[in-house]
Amino acid sequence: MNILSDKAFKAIVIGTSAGGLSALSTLLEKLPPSYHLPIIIVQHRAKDQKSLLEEVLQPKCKIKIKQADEKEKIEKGVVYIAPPDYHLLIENDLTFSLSCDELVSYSRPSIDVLFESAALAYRETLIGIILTGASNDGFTNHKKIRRTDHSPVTC
Amino acid sequence: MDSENKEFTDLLEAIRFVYGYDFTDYSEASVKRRINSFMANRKITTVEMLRDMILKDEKLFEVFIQEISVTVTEMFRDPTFYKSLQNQVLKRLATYPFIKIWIAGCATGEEVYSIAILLEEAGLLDRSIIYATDINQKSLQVAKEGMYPLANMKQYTTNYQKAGGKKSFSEYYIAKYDSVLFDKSLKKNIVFAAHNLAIDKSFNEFQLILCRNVLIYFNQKLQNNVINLFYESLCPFGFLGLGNKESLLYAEKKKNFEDVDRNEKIFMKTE
Repeated sequence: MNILSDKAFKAIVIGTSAGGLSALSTLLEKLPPSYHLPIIIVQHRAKDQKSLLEEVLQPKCKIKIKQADEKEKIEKGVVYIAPPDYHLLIENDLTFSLSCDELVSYSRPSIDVLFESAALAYRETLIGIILTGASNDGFTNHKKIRRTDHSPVTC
Repeated sequence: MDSENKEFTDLLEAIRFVYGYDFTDYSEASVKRRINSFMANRKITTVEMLRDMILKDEKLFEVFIQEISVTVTEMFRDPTFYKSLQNQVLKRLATYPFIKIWIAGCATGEEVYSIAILLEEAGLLDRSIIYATDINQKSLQVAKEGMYPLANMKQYTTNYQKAGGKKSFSEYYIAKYDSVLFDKSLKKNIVFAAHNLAIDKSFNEFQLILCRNVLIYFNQKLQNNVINLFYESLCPFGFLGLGNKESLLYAEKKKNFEDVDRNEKIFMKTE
């Protein structure tokens, strides 16, 4: 069975480097608006780069894409993107929190910070995907998700 | 609640009971992350062990509290916010004979000096007093000194220029080795003091309160309490500036504020 349509999972987190736009776009274009999981994305990007990832991706995709808001409840069938210059974390009640903590692996938002908090909140029902990336960010906590006993996907 | 969460809740309750610091209404994911990194750095393997250690050892608790409450900031972070303050708020402040400003959660003070520079360039610094408060004593100490890494100045200079700064940024500091020291004249009207937004009360009335990127660390209940505190601490038609991603969405007092600049999260108390 394809892992991305398995009903045992509750959410997908994706980490990608600044150059991951086309990979991300290829993946998201295929999803129907009624997709059964929420998808939460951290992409590394230049701090003052104001062109928003969600605005670039939305016209190509059928599924709803938006920036994750402070304390927003996570819903299925929505793709959430971490806002620039903030870490994105997931609370146990499946809402978002933002933080301005120091950079992690030279990045904010950091893939590690998202993956670590998502692994705590979703436990074994989380799928973690690292799309592209040259830095160590995402590596530490990708292992954490693997430890909770399922297969991460790296493209 | 699973056992790991229970241990975590027990730790925060114990800290509140013994030391009077209340983190129970902080955003859990962020606090957990910082506590985990505190534990990892000291090879403490369980939350229970950490709890026993800090309850027995007040010195370790001091280190703990400094480490988990530290926040980072920069000068003129979000330059457009400062531009908006300059255009929409300063001329209103100028109508008061004496201007009182509260910067709540000032961290290491970068924002405090940014505001002082903004007031100086508007000719208002001499009749202003800025109360800069934070929960973290170590951060306050850094703020008082006004000394920052030289390496940050490139970014801060860019921010300052984008914020509409009128001078050359380097006129405000002297550089030595790898640090810079901000001009003493900037801090002559700044009062640095400890204040804990989670438990402490209002202490004055202000025409402007800035609290940027602090509410994101709190849960909705504490956010609401803090907004109430700001409401009580503002004079009629006083201004409130929040962080880029923060809002009054979940606050009971939402209707008692109107937008001054919706994008920059600047509000005015209306009733």
